[in-house]
Amino acid sequence: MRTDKRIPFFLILRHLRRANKWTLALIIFLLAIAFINLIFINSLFNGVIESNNQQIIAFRTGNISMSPARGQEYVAEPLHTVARIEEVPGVEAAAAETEVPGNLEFKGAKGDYSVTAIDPVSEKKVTDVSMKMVEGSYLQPEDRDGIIIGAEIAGEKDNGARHLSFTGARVGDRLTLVLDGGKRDFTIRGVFKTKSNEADDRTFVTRAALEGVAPELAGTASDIIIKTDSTGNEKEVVARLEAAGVRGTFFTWQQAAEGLKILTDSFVTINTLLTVVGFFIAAVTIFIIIYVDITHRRQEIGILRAVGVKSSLVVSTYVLQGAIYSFGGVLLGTALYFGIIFPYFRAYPFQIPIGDVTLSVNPGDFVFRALTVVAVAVLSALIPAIIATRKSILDDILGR
Amino acid sequence: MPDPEDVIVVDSIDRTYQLGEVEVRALKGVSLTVRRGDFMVVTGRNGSGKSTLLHQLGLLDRPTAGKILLNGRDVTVMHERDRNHLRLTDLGYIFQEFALIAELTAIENVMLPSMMLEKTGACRERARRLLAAVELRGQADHLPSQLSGGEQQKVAIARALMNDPAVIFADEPTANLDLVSAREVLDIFHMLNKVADHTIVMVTHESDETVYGNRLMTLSDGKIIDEN
Repeated sequence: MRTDKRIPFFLILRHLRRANKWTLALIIFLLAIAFINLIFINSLFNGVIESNNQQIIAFRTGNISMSPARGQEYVAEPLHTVARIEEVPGVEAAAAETEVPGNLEFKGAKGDYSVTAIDPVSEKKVTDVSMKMVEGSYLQPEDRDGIIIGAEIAGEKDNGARHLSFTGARVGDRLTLVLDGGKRDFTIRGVFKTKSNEADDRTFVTRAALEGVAPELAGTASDIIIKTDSTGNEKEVVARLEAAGVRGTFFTWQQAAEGLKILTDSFVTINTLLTVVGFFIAAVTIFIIIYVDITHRRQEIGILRAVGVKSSLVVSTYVLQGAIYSFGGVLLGTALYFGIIFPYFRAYPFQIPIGDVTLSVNPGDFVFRALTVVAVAVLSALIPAIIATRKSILDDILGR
Repeated sequence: MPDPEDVIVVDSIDRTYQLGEVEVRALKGVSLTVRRGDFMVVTGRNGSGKSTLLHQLGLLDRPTAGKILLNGRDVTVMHERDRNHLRLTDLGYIFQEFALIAELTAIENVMLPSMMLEKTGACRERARRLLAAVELRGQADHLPSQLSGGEQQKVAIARALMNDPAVIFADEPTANLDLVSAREVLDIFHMLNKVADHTIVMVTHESDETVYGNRLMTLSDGKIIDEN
């Protein structure tokens, strides 16, 4: 290594050691804020999309849902089919559901709600509704006149969760289920609240209870919900199910999420727009911080040139300084983000109609944004440093 | 054939500045020769062009016309990279305002130019010797803000000497110093010239400082009006 290559490191180490600590801290803090601004918005929208996907998997379709094969109205022999599916590698559990359109009546109020018949034991293995009971308890397998309803249907006494709710149906209350001519009273065993409006608009009874109202549905299922051993391998599992001869129409959760594509596309668009604005603001902020710092040190640049330090080394010094500042900003921003902001929003998530939304960091996005901050800082240092070294030495020293 | 004893030959240089719409001719056809071992004192009133002349000789600025030969090489048409190298190896410059880097200690300021050429250990050792020579042995690790004006100027002198330059330029080096410090600095220049045989070009407007040089040049309105 040529000896002169030490000059930038020599100068920067001394600058970091002896410069005004408050000024240095303020510069790094501002860079950290600019970095956090870049990752926060992105993480928030990632969180919205991830929350939506989690809600679909946990409360609606599992990883894969199987509908009847083309031309079939129901999945025949559901218990046998569930057993076959559970033997396929990659499948953790499966459960049959029979969803039928129905009408619920409660104290004079009526509402059109679908009712889903389940086997509570196997259902617990594929969805998380059982873990979201806010009142009462989940269904028991032998329960023949119990029903659990979502919070959107139960509503609240003073302020209905929505205008069609039962505005305060409680555990122990009785409501009437009308199914295709059949009619039967059920006792509310529990109320669940997943915080997803769509999931909280559902009701569940046991398969035995449904057969009491509609005996013709005995031994049938409208869907089979499949939980895979890991999220992301759904296509492979579907291929294995088809290869194993399981007859049905398979939909992965990603396909189910297509129904909300308009929503997620909108979030992606908003995210992109805000990211572009965020990048611009961050770039301008970083540029101003570094530019002002270097402009204030033009006399130093002039002195270095006057004593014979090469212009390229002078430029390298300030570029390296910009890189170190930005690296410090990224490190501080990362520490603040994962030490304070991220845990805070884990503990106190945003509550929106599709469920609780926390921040979700995509490693690729994170690294890209960190590199962007460093690149902008380097560029912000490069420009004024080059300008300063192209000016007359006297102008630099005398600040002209 | 240039005389090898002629360190600097200035041939009819002009320096014109544009100040807004006004054109200022700071130097008008100045010619001079600095010979090895000279202690040339350049004097004149404020605005006479003496500092402008020193800036041209010290390669901090380029003349608008004419040429300057440094050890026989025309530096007026030289690429900035080469002029930079000459500033590093052949010239030492002492500014009126000391021009020290605030975040470097005295010894670090002194050793900085030679770090372009040598290993740190050797630089530090020579810087320490030079600081001792200007009686700043105990202040080597002080920052400029911890030194008096006279001490800062001594550090600047030590820095100018670091690469053993062919010529030392001093631009009103005592202007910001008290009488005692000014005398100490001038004594150092005298010693450098007489004992170490350094060539020195010093600008001053203090008439009593002219006695330190063996050549005196007086400028007025951008022209040499007196030389001996």
